[in-house]
Amino acid sequence: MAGSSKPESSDVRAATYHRRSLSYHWRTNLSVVLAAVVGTAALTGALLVGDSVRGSLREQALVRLGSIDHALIADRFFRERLANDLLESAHLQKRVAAASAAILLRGGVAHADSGRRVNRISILGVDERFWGLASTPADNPDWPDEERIVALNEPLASELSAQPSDTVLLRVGTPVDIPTETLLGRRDDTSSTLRLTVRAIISSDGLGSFDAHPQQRLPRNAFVPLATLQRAIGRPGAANAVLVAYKGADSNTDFTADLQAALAECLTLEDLGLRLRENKAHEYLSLESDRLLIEPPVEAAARAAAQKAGLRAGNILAYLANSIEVESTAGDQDEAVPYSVVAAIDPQVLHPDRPMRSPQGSPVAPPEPGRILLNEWAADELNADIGDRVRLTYYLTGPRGRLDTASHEFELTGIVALSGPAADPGFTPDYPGITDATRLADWDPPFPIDLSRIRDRDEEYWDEHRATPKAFVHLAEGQSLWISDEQRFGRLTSMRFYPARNQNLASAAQALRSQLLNNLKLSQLGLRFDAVRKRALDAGRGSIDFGGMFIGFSFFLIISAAMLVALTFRLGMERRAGEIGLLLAVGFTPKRVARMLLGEGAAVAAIGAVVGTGAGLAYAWLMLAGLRSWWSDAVSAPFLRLHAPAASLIIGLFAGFLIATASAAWALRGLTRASPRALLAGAISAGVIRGSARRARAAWIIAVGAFLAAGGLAVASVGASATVRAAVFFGSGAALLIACIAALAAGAARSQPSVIRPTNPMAVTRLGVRNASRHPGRSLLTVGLIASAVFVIVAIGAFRLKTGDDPYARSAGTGGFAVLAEAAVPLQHDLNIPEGRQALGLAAEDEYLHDVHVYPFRLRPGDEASCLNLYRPTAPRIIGATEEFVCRGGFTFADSVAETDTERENPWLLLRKQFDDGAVPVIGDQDTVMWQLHLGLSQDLTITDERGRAVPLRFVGVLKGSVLAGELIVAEDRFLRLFPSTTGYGYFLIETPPDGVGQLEERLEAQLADYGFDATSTVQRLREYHAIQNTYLSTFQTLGGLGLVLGTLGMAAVLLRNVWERRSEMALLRALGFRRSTLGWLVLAENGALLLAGLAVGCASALLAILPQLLTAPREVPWGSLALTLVLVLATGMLSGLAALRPALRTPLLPALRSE
Amino acid sequence: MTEALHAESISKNFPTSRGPLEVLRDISLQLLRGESATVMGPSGSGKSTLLNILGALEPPTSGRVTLGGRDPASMSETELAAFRNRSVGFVFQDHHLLPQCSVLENVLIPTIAERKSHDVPEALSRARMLLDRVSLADRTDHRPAELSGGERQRAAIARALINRPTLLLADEPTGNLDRASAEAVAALLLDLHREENTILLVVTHSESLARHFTRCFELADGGLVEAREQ
Repeated sequence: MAGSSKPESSDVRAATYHRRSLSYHWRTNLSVVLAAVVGTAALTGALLVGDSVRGSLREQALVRLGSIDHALIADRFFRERLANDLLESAHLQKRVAAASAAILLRGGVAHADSGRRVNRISILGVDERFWGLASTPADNPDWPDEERIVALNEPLASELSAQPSDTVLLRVGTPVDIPTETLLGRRDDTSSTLRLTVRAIISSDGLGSFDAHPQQRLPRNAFVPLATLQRAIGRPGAANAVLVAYKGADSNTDFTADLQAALAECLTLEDLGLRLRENKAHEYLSLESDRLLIEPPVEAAARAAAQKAGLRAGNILAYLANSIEVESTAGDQDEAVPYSVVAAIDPQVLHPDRPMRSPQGSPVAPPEPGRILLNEWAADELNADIGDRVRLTYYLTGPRGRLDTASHEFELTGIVALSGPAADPGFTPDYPGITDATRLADWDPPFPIDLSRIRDRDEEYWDEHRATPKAFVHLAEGQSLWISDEQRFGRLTSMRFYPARNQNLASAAQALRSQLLNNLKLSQLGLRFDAVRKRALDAGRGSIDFGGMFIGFSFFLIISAAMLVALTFRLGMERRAGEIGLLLAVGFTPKRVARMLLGEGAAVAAIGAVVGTGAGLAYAWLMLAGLRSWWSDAVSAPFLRLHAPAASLIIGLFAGFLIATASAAWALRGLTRASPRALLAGAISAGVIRGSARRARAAWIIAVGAFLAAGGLAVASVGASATVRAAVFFGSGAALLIACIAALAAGAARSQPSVIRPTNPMAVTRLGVRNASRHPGRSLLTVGLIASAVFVIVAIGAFRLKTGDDPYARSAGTGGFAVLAEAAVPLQHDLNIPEGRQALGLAAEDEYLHDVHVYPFRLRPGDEASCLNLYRPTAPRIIGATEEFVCRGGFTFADSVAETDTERENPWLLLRKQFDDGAVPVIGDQDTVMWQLHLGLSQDLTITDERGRAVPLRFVGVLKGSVLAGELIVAEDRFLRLFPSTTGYGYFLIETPPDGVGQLEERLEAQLADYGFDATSTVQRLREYHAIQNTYLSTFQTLGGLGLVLGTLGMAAVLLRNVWERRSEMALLRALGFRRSTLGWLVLAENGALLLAGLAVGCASALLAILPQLLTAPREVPWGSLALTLVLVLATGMLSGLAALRPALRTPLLPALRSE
Repeated sequence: MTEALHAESISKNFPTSRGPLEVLRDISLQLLRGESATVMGPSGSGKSTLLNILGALEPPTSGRVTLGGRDPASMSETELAAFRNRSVGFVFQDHHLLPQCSVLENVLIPTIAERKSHDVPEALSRARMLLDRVSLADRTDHRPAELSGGERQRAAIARALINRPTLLLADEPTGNLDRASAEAVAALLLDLHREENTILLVVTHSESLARHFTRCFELADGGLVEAREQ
């Protein structure tokens, strides 16, 4: 009775109809939901992977910094107390919560018992103030007041197999004030060794992994009590770093300007290694530097300060002559004056009222260029007279510890009395080991001296006059003789200032000191606070947009899912053709019916999107688990954790919903336009294409249009950024797929089927193949699904890298070098010559060094720029290539700006290129430039040089797949202009016969352990880089594999539907005597036809897409493994056909016939 | 005649690869409100096509059909849909009940086609009345799959009449039924036709059924001939 009806049946509205339809057709809807789930999950998962990588990098960066916001890390030392002064600075208004002075150095460590060694570690001299900067008390180790202890962070302890109480030998690079590449720089005292007891192993989740350069590889840190390290390097009370934590600072806040102001307020001249001496005897002030040479920014600031203070400024360059000889006595060692200070001066050095005078008392004019003045002692020694030719012989230093002897002749134009201004040892700045020596024979210079040449008379002079110059030459001439690059270390050893007539020396000193400190630009001296937290967060955005990359590589998976949505939805709707026809017949408009059906599609899509968003979380989690474990070669990032911001979930949800709904809408096209009569009869889509010349024409137009679009995209992307080119690759790939599928459709539409003759042994097969053309829409979608997956698998497979057959060829990624190495403490000597090897502690005649040639590079430490680092490099490492390396050439260039044949033959010569705008030519690895720096050829990377200037580095060439992926290479001379204080060489490429690589690595690391020398086989390094790219490719091929799963599912659905529709036909064939096996073959033939068409279209599209790359940059395509993959695809697809086979063969004969 | 069905010289061709296939040729007929008629003829003679054209499910190749003076060929898509909804009721050989909906819901389906005007309580009451009339009052909540063939067809008749159509068309409504069910359905159709005062046109192969109708047409070789008029 009506009265017993359920409440919901008392009415019918559209919503009821939808609800009923959704539940009644649940099987079809479920398949649509599943396809929508896959698409949404792929999209959401890709977004979440990107979020998770960024979030994890951010977290790690913050954890490693504790509460540190800003850091001043300098290559010079200042008072440790500076940190306390900053806390009290008026500029900071007590906004700084904590400031810790520290010493940050590089070095190596060895286990005293096992001998196990870890080179290239960070050594941090810290005290309790540093641990006070930890985010959590747990990070703060028990740090007793013991002297000879060390705390190792977990990765270092693990690599060293060190336990608490073990003894380790810490080799630390000892900083020197006087540049090692100047005459008086000490090249052989650059490291020292400390024997320490391991007191604690510090967790790497905190300050234990402190690193100013963000990188995902955990740093190897050794923490030593600050005082211990200060003593070890001979700098009590000094530090080279200040780490600052602001009170309640936002992570992105940059207080650099405030800190710089405070720094300027707190710094003293002594902090800058400057001394302003008052010489009361001669009434002048002398500005000298611990670096011996006054740095150019200091010279400029001092000159300006003197002008403001009204002081007369003069300049002095004191140098050591090995010999002073007069022409007549040249060659006669006895008549030469050995080891004398010569002062190159300008006229302002002398007081205007107190000129140098001759022994006879007449004024002697300051030296002119080409002229020399001798003091009367030297003149007497040499029996020199006015007009004689005087020869100075002296050392000149070159790179890699080279010491040359040179000489120059002057005309003697004056002899000055050894009294008054000429009798002033203040011309020569203090130099430990020389000016403080009691006797001349006690000198301890960093160059060889022949003590036998020192006479009693020389000792007597030393006793009486110390380092008073024996000769004077013109300043500019002295500088041209003894200073190779005036802008590098400086060109003066002291600056002399005379007070104005109304000033006394003390007030002049005070005025000068004050003005000088005001004028000094601290950033030019490398004293710059770095907003490390902000920079780490910037770097934490990542060099690679993983979200974008995963979306790119999931593109075809998402498209496949969309196609599967369309396919399954369409199949479902085709089953409901009668229902649609009825709705039209009873007065529903086609639009209304379309809206109702689309409403169902949208509801199903919404369910799929919601579930898919959840599945996206799982997918992202799985991908991250893969990146942490199976694919750890790619990112080496065990710290990756799932981050799921609401924005990405919402974007994924809505995008998934829209894609699925749009696919459903596309699937509905034309359905409600069919006549109700046809729909009621269940006739909907058969025979749409075959025989239709018009449709064939349209398909050809689409094919040609899509092909041209693919070509146009490829051409348009030339010179575009890496991201754009990658997007274009997928865009043109999709266009090629469309072109190939349209061409297939056109071919199918045009072809007239030939008569199948029963005598033909292939008759059943041909009948099966022809069945595939009964529903062209379904079949083409199936082909598209398979083709998309095959495209991804083939296109990505072709990009797999492998080390070439001859890894040591000059054109290989190794550049022909067998070993690359890095030294924590730069080497100051040449490893290619016996003297250099000896100086470095190697036996000159060591057999393993035969046939070894080392190409050293200057190294500016910075952010790792290779794909080994997920962080965005903000200040990448830069290396300076010697002229020898530039001329050698090697490696293969992917592209360059070479214009001449010579440059094309050896693009390294482009490093010499001069740009009018001052840009510095640079060469980098193509992948690094494209993916890490997001730049290209002729584009600029702006860096901050040592003097704080913004300098553009312009890419003049990019290397193809090289071991130099982590470096940016500039010419050595340009490097030294950018980073003048860099001395020695920290990076090395080594040529050696391949069979000696292992021994060479081992021996060099052992013998150069004091320098933290770390050698690696170039082939091994190249494999590591290749492993990264190949692992990424594996990741994305997995996505292609998922696409293949969707493709086979779609194909199985189509086959099942086809078989279901033809069940009575099958039954009839059985009634006519066809064997089950024959019918099985019929189904499999249809399956095989679709599969082979998909494989052919996918392969053709992929090969066309990668063809430009294969032609322009030939690579070894792993055809074998690709072919194997395709065979597996075929086998998997055929297995899915078996799924459709079962119901076809199991359909009961009579019911099926009755339905006919 | 405002309440009449007029067909004037209607022809219908279907395109084939060998040129157009003429199914109906120059057919004219007129049925007044209250009249019932059958169309008989051999299989493939175009009976269903004629019914579809008269019911505005497909247009004729040439000629004109009007119902109450209204020509579906001149209507917009929306007007045409409303015309089918309000003026025509269709009973198909294959009942085409929606399997996901209950019997009552199936009957009510046409009432949701026009969302603006239908009066839900009235439609519901009429649906119940019709179901009672076709003896399915106790099966309102049942799904089509739970009904016999005769019951399904009776439900389809109720659905066809829900909007009080002027023209009731039935395409072999008893073709899939046994004799007893067929007779019951035929009697019901005619009873309801009389009660609702519709124009009833039924396509059938059954001469016994045809005898109950006031007029009988035969379709052969594309032409329509009136075989009998009471």
